[in-house]
Amino acid sequence: MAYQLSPENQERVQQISKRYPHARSGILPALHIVMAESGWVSKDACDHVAELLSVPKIYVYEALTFYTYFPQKPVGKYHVQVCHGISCNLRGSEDTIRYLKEKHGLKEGEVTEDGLFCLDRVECLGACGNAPMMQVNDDYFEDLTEEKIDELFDGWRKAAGNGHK
Amino acid sequence: MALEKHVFGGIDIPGNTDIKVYEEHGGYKNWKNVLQNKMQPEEVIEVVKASGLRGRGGAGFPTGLKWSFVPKGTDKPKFLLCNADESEPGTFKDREILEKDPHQLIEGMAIAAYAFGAQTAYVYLRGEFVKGWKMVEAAIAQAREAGYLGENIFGSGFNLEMYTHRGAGAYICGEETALIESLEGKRGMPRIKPPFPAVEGFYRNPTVVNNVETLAAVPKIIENGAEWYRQWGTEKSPGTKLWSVCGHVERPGVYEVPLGYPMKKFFEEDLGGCWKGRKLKAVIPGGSSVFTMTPDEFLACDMDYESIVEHGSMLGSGGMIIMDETTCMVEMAQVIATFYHHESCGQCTPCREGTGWVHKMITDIEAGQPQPGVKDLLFDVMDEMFGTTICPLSDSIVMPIKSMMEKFPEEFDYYIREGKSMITGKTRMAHKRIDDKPNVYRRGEPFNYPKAENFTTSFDTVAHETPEHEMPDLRYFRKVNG
Amino acid sequence: MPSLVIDGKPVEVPDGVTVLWAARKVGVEIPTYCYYPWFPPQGNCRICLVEVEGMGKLQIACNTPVRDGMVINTNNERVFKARRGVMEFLLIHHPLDCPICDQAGECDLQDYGYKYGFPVGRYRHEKRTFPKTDYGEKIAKEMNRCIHCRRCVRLSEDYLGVAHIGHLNRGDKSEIGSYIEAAVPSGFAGNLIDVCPVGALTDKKMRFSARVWDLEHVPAHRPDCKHGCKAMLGLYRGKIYRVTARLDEHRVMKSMICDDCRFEHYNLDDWVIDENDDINTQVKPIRATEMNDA
Repeated sequence: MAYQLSPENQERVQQISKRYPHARSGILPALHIVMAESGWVSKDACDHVAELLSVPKIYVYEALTFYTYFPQKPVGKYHVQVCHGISCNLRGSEDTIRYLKEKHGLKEGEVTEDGLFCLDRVECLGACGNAPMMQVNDDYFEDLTEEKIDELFDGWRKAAGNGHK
Repeated sequence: MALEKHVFGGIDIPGNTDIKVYEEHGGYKNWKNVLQNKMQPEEVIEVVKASGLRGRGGAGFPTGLKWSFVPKGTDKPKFLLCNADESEPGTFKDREILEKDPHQLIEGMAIAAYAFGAQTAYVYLRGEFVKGWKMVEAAIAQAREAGYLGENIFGSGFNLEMYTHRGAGAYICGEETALIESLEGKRGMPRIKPPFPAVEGFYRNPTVVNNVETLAAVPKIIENGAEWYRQWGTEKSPGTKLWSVCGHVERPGVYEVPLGYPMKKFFEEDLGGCWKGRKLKAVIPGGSSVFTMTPDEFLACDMDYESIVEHGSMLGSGGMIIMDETTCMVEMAQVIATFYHHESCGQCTPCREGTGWVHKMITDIEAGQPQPGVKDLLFDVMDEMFGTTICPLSDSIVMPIKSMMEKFPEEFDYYIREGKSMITGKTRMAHKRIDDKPNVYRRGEPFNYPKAENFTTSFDTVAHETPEHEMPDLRYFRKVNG
Repeated sequence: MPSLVIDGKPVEVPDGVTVLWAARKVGVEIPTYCYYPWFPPQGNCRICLVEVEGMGKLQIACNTPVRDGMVINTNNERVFKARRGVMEFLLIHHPLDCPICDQAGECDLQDYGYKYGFPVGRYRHEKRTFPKTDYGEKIAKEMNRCIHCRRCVRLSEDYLGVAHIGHLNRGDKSEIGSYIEAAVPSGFAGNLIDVCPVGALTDKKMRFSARVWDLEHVPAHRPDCKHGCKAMLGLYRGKIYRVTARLDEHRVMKSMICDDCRFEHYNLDDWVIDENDDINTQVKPIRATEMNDA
């Protein structure tokens, strides 16, 4: 069954595309909505977006493959993106990444076995003043220390555990 | 003495994201004044021109002048785009405004839109700024509800709609024409100029793209007049500027500093110098894409556009990256190259191929196995990349790296010679070694790379001696009756 | 009428034309890849850089409007070096497969490579390669040879009317493709082969069967073609090896031809030879086979 957005979200995509002189501008907002709904963007989702906005499919593929913010494969429940830009590097982002890998068992570009976490290195996230930092789903976590990371991950693990029960 | 925020004081007011708080502090008063007192659009442009406000996104183009380029008397709709795609490494000033003082931005955008007659405005935010996006969305909704946006605002007959638009992780969309392309739903690839956006921009309509900081400064300038804004800064760069300081510094953060402020004073008194009492080694003063400065150059300059250029760098977006003595410059060059390699849009040949090549060569140095003659080759390749592309991204990788190689040559030489860092003593990219992998290119005697100048296909031998049209057009070489 | 000087040659041109146009008018050769007169200039190949006196940076000839009193150098050392740089970047990932490439002999990359290229490659890393993808049965696509001029993208969108080909991924991983690897749904898709300046898109029917310098090019048309295509036959020993559109001296198509003419009619009886390769030519009523007999 081909991917479909929920009816409300389909309506939202239509609404947003009316803000622009041409529906093609609605591609990025639509992809954001897809991502918010399913966590990643599949080829089916692209076709669906193209249909909703009545634009050629290739326009959506072009956008999808250009903008790195949209994952093209499933990411875990918590998509951990650690900035390894110059400012974070100066303040120890490499140590953060190493710590995440060693202590919390995250792997770059892979989802952990429990389906919770996926680690990615990303370029500058624009929070250089509070480096090192990471973005997990929509939220920024700044001034990372090992204790802070432990605390955050414990919290997420607990939340996920409760959810399963 | 702490630096006072004059123009962006709203950042420090708690709860300023709410329209009530903002109004209490005099918010939207100027927008109301402009419309109700029937201030002519030309007057607004004149005030901004007189204030000498320059684009704060990096290029420093006079804002009033930019607005005045928009053709008058066309039937085409006009658009105002706010560039909040802040992706320059080391720069995080716009985020402060978006998250803590969005109403001032909206007011500035409204005034700007009025000044050149735009009826639709978009705030293009980078996709990662989810919090900022929500803040701006909420602020726009509040402003619309309060009647500051919408149709026939304050009965003046002026309509203005404002929307947010989220980017999605592309640094290049901070370039104005790339931003326009991206807003059109295309890939964020810079366009060639001419035509300039002011004439043919968003869907071929007149468009102005301004940085967040530029637009947010407008309400205060309108409120207090051009002279008030000119009390700070120098003749050529008046006003104040937000500086974002990061890296090895005691007190990183966003500071509003009058232009022309002495750098030494700022660094030592306001920033508290390098962290942990270490010595300063190098500074990139304007986001990662400008020339690296040595401490001598850095401390001697003033914080304005001209003085920084005089001392060998550029003001750029005002994102200062401070590096202390423990920093390995080869490592920094590699990190910067990684960034630009990742962010090149892939349009122009020199940038598409060159960024990757430079990145690979520096990674090789960091892995301890550079190709012979790598340093000359790096310089050659960077020279070929500089100034030959549509947008300045290709220049942006060249400027910091080339200046690092020129100003800290001993570190690069040491790394190339010894295969490890002069500072840390480690080989950072050792896992990238490809000694044991079969690679035909690396086998055998090291090839002695001639420098570009010494190549046999030099300009003299080829371009002059071979006749024009030396290549016969083969499709027409043998005509049917010939 | 602005008058300007190109390489010391004074020229008067109409308002609003580009430097490239003016240069071609006086017979000064400026190399181009992404420029194609059918489309608005895009300016991303950067090979047409020229020096405009008074401007700091080198400018692209294909999008610099002429101004009165301009002095342009297209053949000095600075320009040569810039072009040599662009050539080097274009070639670092380009496979060295000219001997098996059908485009060899009429390839812009080869031509300018001779003129501006380095004799030695200085790139010592692995070349970028792409997985093999195709556009259906008739067009062979070799992405590794692509120079990202995007002529095919623009032709398919602006002239074929099918937005099917796009620019995927970014940076040096950019790929021109359809993402779904389907044939271009157009009756004129074969023209993509003719707009491609290099061997990235080639004719699958003539693949490996002939070399272009052996072919005798004969302008011809097919009376049965409902589009009235004016084609160019590639003959070798009396046999048709390929059919292309007619090109002008800058290898720009004079008009498109349909896929039916291009791929389906390899029999000389189907064709009528034209007097010259002008697309508006009067038809000379000789069957191709008759000409061969004579």
